Amino acid sequence: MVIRKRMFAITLILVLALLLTGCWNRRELSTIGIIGLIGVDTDDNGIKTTLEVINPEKSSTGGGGKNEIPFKYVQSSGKTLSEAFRSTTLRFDREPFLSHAKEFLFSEEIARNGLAEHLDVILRNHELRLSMHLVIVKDASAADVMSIGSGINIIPSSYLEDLLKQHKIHSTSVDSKVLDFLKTYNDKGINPVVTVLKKVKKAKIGAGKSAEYELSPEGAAVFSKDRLVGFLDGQETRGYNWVIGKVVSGIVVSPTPDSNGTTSVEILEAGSQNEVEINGNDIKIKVKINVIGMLDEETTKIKLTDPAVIEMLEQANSQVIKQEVEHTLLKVQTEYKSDIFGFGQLVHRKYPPEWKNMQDNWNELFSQATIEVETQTKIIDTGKSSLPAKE
Amino acid sequence: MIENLEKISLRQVIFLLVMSHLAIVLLSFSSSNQDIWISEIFALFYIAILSAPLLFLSKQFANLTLVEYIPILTGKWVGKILGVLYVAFFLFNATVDLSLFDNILRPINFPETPDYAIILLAVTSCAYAVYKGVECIARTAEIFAPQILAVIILYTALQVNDMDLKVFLPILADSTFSEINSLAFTTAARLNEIIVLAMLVPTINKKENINMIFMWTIILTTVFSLIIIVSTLAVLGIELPKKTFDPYYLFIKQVNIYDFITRMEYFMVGAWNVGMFMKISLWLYLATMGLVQVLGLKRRKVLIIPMAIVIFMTALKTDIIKSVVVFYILEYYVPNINLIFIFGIPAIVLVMFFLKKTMKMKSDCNR
Repeated sequence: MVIRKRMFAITLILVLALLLTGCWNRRELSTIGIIGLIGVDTDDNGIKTTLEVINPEKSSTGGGGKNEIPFKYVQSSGKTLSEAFRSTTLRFDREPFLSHAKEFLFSEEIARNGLAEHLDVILRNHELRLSMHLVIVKDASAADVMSIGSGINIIPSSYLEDLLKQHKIHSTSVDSKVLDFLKTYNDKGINPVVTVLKKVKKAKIGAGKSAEYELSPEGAAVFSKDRLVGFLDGQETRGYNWVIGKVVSGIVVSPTPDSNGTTSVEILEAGSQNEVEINGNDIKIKVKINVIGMLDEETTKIKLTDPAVIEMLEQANSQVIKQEVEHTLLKVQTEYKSDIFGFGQLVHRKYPPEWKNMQDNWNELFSQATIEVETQTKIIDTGKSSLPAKE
Repeated sequence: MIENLEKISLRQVIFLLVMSHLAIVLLSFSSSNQDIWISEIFALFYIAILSAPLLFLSKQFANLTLVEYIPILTGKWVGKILGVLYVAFFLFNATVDLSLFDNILRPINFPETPDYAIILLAVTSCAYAVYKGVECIARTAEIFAPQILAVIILYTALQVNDMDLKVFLPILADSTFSEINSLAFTTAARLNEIIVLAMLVPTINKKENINMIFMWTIILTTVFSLIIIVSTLAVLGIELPKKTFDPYYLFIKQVNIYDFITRMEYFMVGAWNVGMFMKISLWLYLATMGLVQVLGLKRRKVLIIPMAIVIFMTALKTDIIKSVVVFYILEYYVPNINLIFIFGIPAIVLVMFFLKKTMKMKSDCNR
């Protein structure tokens, strides 16, 4: 009896194991189109999406044997993103699988009209992820830049991802995710800043075949709530990153005091302390930035073994950082009138009762606030050389 | 007393009760503002008040379940009616949890799988657990609860670098004392595990430790609820989680350690499956147990299949299967219904207990 029971149980388990091979939602690799990159533009129907579909077979063999590229593009349109995604199956033989999408590109036009309405699908859809990079394409359509892959990585979505991740090396761009946008958009006292992408003409070097354009994420897109209001260039973006304490590394170039040379300092560590003070109707914002750096390059002859000289270089460096930050703050205050730094959140934390009256017109108040910037640089290392190469 | 030969240990019952509550917090929680953590702590006070009548009665009738001792105090027919109401309450909870399970799992893992398939598999496995008895469910809790609690800590540890605890500032600036209390009261009203305890008391090894069991349950529940809620809000901010049904799932989807450890959701889906399996099984077990005791039947197991069919059909054929409906019920109806069963009815029964005791003392004196 026991043996019969056990036999029955084993048979049942084996039969049930058959169910594990698939279910209603099984999606074989050969039936899906793995999407790496999503571009969104406007067209007569409303929304036009361009999807980069990766061919895993081709990409695994290094691009295919017959010069075949390991990806294809498919375009479709609809009134909403959901409709446009579904419409791709009218023209393409694979159903788009969005879980592996790395970047979400929006054209400048869409961003200027408001981005939030297009992000609802990401929050709601089970495939799309909030950790996707969010990018605004400047001076071109999203579809235009999607085909540019001028890096070592031959798949544009991977090339773009690698490119965006390098923001830590130069700090003149930002790497924003969909989650970052939704968080800052939903919170009061802060506005979103999003990665910007431009296609730039590539210099032709040598006689070999090379791409005509390459991509540059230098700069940032400034939003007021969910509407794009303008852009920051590379230096201004680093100014923004100084204030929010997101500078990881980079080179600060300053004129060498009492000479015609220039000093390059590599940022090793950077931090910021921001404070707000309210006296009556006056709002005063204090930004304090501390940088620890290493002398990376010196183009003129100075006595680098003298601590007083190093101190001079530190002051010159601090001055450059201060100008960068002040310029960015002034531009954002006067031109864009959008608190992208989160000073409003500081007011909320320090002056909760006052914030209740300020929160609805905070951007206006921010644009009139007095801002005081203090910077300090410490050069702790001069690299492998004690004296400059130049005699 | 029928079929009370099963025995479960203190540890098993604590894990069972903790998982029963955390299974819901893992699925969904509602946040108000940055002071939510204060409300969670304040809730301890209300939990103690709301659970006091049942806790007291369970100590007095340690060898009887809630459904068994109510008729002793209220009279046979009123007791039976109340017993049936409690059975309906257990079935209601089982149905809500079944629908929740379907509504969380389907959009994430099985968007094209029909509801009936998910619910049928869930009900079948839960019915089997109920057939095996409460010992089986309690052992499941004992094995899996520590692992699930460890997973919760793991998720928090993996996201520590992305957490911004400044989102919880300013403290007590945007909410009034009454708002915090109101939220704490609602949080306390969501915790209906005291009823489970009141039904399981006769099966517990050391009944005299019932206060300690409940104390550890609410401490562990509060600590882990705080870990879940604080971690989620520290990563997602205060406002964004309000827009989703499952903020904790959104939180764990953000785990990314050097682009190497990513997409860790499968732990969570496993924890949900086990947690909801325990919870639904437990309610179904209590429903069968309760009805057996109300009707004075000899065998509990004959009721399992009919009751499983009842919750299966209710979940499938009513609007409760719709995500909007089930989350609305969870948010607005469940706390109020809980209040009736964890505090309302027990408070009345407690008054009757004291009345009877006083009358007995008087009659003893008169003699």
